[in-house]
Amino acid sequence: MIGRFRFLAYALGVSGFCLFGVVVVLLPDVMEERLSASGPSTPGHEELSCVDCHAEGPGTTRQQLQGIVSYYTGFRDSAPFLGHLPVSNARCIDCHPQLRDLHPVYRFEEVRFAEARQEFSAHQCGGCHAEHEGVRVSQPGDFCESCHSETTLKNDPATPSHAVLIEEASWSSCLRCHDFHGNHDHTPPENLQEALPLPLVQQHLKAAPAGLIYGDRVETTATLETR
Amino acid sequence: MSRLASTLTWPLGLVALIVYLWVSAPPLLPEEGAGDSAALVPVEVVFRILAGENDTARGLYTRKIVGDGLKQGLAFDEDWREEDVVAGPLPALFLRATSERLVRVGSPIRLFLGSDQPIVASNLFEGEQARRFAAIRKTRQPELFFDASSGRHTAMFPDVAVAEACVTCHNEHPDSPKVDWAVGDVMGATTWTLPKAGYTREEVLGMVESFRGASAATYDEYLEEYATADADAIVPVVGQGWPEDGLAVPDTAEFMGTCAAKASAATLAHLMSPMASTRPSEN
Repeated sequence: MIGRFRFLAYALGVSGFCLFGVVVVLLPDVMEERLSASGPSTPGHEELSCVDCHAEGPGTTRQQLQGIVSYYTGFRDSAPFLGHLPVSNARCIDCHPQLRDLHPVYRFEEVRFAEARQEFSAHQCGGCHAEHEGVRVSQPGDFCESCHSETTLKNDPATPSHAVLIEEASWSSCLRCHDFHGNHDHTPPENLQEALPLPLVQQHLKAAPAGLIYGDRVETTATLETR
Repeated sequence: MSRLASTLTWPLGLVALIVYLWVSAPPLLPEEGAGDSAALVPVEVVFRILAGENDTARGLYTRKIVGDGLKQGLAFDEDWREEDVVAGPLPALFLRATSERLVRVGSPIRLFLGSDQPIVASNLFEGEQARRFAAIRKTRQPELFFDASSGRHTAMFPDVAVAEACVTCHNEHPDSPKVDWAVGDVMGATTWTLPKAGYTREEVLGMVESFRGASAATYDEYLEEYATADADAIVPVVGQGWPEDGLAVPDTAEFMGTCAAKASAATLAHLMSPMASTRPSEN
């Protein structure tokens, strides 16, 4: 009796493995997407394939393994990547050139932005736009505090003033007036009462249906980081 | 039997791994940045080369284009990229545009401009940069260090008011926190960062080429302002002339040729100096 169950268990296991193998061989792309992706795509990225973002690392798998073993045995200063390279800013910028950007990621590589780098990897696109989370912005909309808690304006047109908003730690209000990347046809209102409603901004950060709440995209042939 | 098998499993596995990874394997992957370490140019020297290139290009632009151009009625404005504004970039924005282009072409160079008295609050030095800049104000010498927070080699060079146009603009700007700047003052500092401690001469020349290319592209963009200007705008002749001679500005070839002629000797001297073939120290 026990022998029969054991045989059935083996048979089921082998059949399942064979079926899995057939599916992997016949539908490799589908399997890769389903098995590798840790969650739903960022809105707008649904049609992308893995390799559109995950470039293959240099060398064969065997060479990469060689390099990794050499690194851990002290014969090499750095380990090569196994399989795919990490997704770099350059990969993002290939499709999103952000020719007009008030907060280009490279600026956060400057020494003084250590806190923003540490808190939410502000120097990497993925710091705010983490992939496979199914949202447009993966950070809560209060990240401005990391860099602007000491900001002062000599001539402040805003009501209430920026000094008051900072004093009250009203960080969720920033994106109601300001288009973070500045790549839309948007003029910040001078009065917070005329700003975008907070729920709309939050919806915009989380998903696509909120649309272009800051107006049409503005792209020029040149960069527009004018300040 | 099973005891023998378990005893042999690990040694056999190790032998198989060694055979797989080395004995029958393809050549080792080259390591990024690997080479003869003695032949590397220390990052400190690279910083001095790049800062010299920048001083030349930006100094020429500030004095010979902005300074003399203002006298001819040419405009230079912080909103120069707005469609309805026909103007050139202010010197600080010329640097900013060049810096951004370096990133876009994949250069490892990062270049920033800041101050302890900036017009725009987001350019205010803080922390380590503020401390280093305080020293620069006293010594007028560059500060070179390794920034552990970013893992990058860093250099800060004094940014000096080289022309009357610099101090006039900053003193008259409504958002300027300081209004008594004078020519020769250290108004701020450029901050340069690079990821490695040393570079081959080919890599250094590549970086110089990238920097000049980025500067040329920014100057091109400036000239584009005149190509698309309305009929009632003040438009100089673009060619071989300079604003000191009349209503003219050099074309990109003339401007960059002049920059190269002024900067190349110092760049070559740095590359050929004994310092340029030793390993750098990190402090």
